[in-house]
Amino acid sequence: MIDGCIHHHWGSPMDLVAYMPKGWQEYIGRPGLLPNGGGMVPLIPGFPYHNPFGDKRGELDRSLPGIARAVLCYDTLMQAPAEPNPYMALEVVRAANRWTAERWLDPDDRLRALILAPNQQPDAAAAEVRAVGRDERFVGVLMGSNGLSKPFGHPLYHPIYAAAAEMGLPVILRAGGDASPDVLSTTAAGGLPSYYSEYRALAAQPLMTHVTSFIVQGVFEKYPSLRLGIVGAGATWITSLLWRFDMDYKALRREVPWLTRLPSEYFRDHVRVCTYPLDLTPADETLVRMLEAVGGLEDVLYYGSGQPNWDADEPDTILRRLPPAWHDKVMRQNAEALFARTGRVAAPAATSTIEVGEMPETGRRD
Amino acid sequence: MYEGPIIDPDVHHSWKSEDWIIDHLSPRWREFARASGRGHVPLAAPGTHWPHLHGVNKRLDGYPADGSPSGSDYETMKRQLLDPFHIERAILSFDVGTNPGVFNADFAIELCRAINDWNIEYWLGMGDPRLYSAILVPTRTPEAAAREIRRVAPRHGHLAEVLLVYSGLGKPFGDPAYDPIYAAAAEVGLPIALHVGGELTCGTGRAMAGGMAGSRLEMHAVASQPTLHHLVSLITHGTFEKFPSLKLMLIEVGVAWIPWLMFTLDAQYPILRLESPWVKRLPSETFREHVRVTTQPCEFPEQPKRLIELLQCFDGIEDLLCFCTDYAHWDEDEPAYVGSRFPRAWWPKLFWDNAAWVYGFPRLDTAGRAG
Repeated sequence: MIDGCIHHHWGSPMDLVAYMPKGWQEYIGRPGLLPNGGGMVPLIPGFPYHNPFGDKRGELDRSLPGIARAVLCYDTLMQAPAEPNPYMALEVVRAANRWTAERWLDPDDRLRALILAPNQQPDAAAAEVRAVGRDERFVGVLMGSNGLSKPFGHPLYHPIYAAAAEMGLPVILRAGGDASPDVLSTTAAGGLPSYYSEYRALAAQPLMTHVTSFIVQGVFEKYPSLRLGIVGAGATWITSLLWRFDMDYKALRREVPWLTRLPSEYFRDHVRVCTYPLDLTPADETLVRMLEAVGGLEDVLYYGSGQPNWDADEPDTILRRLPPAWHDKVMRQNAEALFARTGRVAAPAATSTIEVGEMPETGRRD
Repeated sequence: MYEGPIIDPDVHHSWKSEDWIIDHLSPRWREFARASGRGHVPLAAPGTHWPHLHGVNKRLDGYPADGSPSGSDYETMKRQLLDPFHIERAILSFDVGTNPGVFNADFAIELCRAINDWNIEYWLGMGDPRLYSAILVPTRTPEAAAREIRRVAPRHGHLAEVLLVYSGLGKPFGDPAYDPIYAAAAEVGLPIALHVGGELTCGTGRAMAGGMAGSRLEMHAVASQPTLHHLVSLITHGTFEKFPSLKLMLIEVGVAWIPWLMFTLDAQYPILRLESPWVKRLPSETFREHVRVTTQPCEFPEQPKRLIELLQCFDGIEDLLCFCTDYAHWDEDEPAYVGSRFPRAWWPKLFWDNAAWVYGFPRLDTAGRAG
C-alpha cells in the first residue's frame, strides 16, 4: 500500500532554522534570547481554524505498518509560502525542503516527499523545483498556501508548472491554503467562517476554484504531461462540480477557445484526489452510491491517511468503505501513477491548435 | 409531461426605466440621484467584471418589443412564461436584487423603500392573481432592513418572501448581526429567499474561495459557493433555532451539491455542538425542516438517472426540491425538460407542493389542481 499523505513537522522550529543561511539565522534568533521565552521570529504565518478537540491524535506514527511508501506532505509548514516577507518565505521554504531530505528521507527509505514551492515568487519556485527535484525521493510539488492570492491556474503560477512538468513531477494542492490571515484569497466564499466546523465543511470550496482554474486557464494544454493531486477535502464534492462545469463549458466555451475537451475529461485525465479525509456518510453504502453517480472515480482516488491529524483514515477504514474491486487501484496503483517520475495519468498529447490566451477569429457568433 | 399548475420561485422582473424608481425616492434622495443634471447615479453596485458572451446574460427574445429591459414588460412575461407554462404563481424576484449593494448605506435604505413601493404599485397592482413578489431589504443595515420588512409586508398580501442577495456586512448570512432581519421576517410570517449573485456582482472580493476567478466559465462553475456558505452559516449559527418558524428558499444554486455538503456538515456535528451554543440537531435535520432548494441551473449529467441516483443518497430529497425557471436569463430551465429528468412521482411536489409549503400556498388537491 502507498500512503499518499502523511503530515510531517519539526520537533522544534530551530531544527529548520539550522538549514537557513547564517544571516537569516541571526535575524530569526532563538527562543530565550529575550525575557519570557521571547527572541525568535515566527517562521510561518498563523492559522485561524483549529479543532477544539485538538488538531492531532498524537505524534506521527513512523512505524507505518503495511505501508511500502508514504508521501510526506508537510503540516503547518505548508503555510510558509504565504509569509508576507517574500525573502523570508523563500528561505524558510528552501530550508524546509533541505530539512525534509536530511531529517526525514535519509533515515527511512520508505518515505518520499513533496517539494514545497515558494509560490509567492514563481521563478524562484521553479528554480527550487528543478534543484530539489534532482533528488528522486521528491515525488511532487506542493503549492501550499496561496502566496499570490490568485486561483492556482493563474498564468502567474505557470513557471512552477513548467518546472514540475519538466521534472516529471505532479503538483499537489492541499486544503487550508487559502485560510491564513496572510493571504487575500478566502477559504470560503461569501465571508469568513466563524467556526472550525464551518471552515472544515467548506474546505473543498477553494480547491474547486483551483481545479476549475487549472483546467480553464489551460495548464493541461500547456503542460500535457502534468498531473494534479488534491488533498484534504475528501471526495464527494467532485460530482456536483464536474456536472456543473461541463454544462457551463458547453455554454461558455467561446471564452476559452484553447480548451478542446469537456472539463470533466481534463479532470479524469490529469487530476487525482486523495481520499483523506474520506467523507463520512450515514452509511458506507451511501458513500459508494455518491461516488458511483459520477462514475470512474476508482481511477481518480488515491489513499492517504492524513496521520497524525485527528481525522486520519487507517487503511482498514478505506478497505471497509470502498468496494473490493477498487482496493488495488485506490490503495496502490493510482498513487504509483501519480507520483512516478515517468508516470503519466493517461494524459493524451495536447490537441489544441490554439495557444492558451489566444482569441482567434472564427467567423462564428457562438 | 407534467401538465398541472406550477409555482415559479425565480422570475426576474424589472422596471422599464430607472426613472420610475427615482421618482419613488424622497425629495432629498431624488436630488442626490439627479444632482449632476445628466442622468442619475447608478441604482446598483458597479459589479464585478465577468462579462457574459456579448455582454448579455438574458435570452434575447425576452426583450420587450419596445426596447425596454428584460423582465420589465408584463405582456411579454405573460406570453412567454405565465400562460404557456401554466405558471399559477410567479414569485417576481427582481433582476437580481443587488440594488442594496450601492455603497452609500443611507441611499441603499431609501432605494429599497422606493423599489418596494414601486413594485407594489406597478407589478402587484397589475391585477394578475398569479403574480407574487419579494421584499428587497438594505442588508448593510439590518435594523433598517427589519423596519422595511415590517413597514411593507402588511401593505400587500402578495408579498411572498424577503429576498437576500447581497450580504452587505461582508459576513455570511448566519452571522448574528443579521438576526434583526430574521426576527422581522418571522414576525410577519414570510420566508427568506436567498438568491445567488450578490457577491458575484457587488465587487466584494468574496465571490469564490481561493481567489478571483479568471473567466466567466470559472466563475459560473463555482457560482453557488457564497450561497452555500450562507446556508452553512445559517445552520451553524442556529438561525433556525432562534427563529423556529423561519423557512428558507435557496434560489439558483442547482441541487447536486446537497448530499455532499449536508453529509460533510453532519460529519462535523460533535465539533459543531462544542463550538456553537445553538446547534442541537444534525445539520441535515435542520435543513430538511426549514430549507427548500430550487432546481435551476439543474445539473444534467449525460445519463439522467445518475442525478437521481445521487440525489436519492439524501433521504427525502423529493420533499425538498422546487422547480424554477430563472426567466428570462440565458440559462433558463423549462418545465417539460426539467420534468423529464425527474421521476414522474416527484412532479406534484417538484412543481407545486414543496414551494407551496415555503410560501404558505395550499397544496394541490387530489385532482392535481391548485387549491
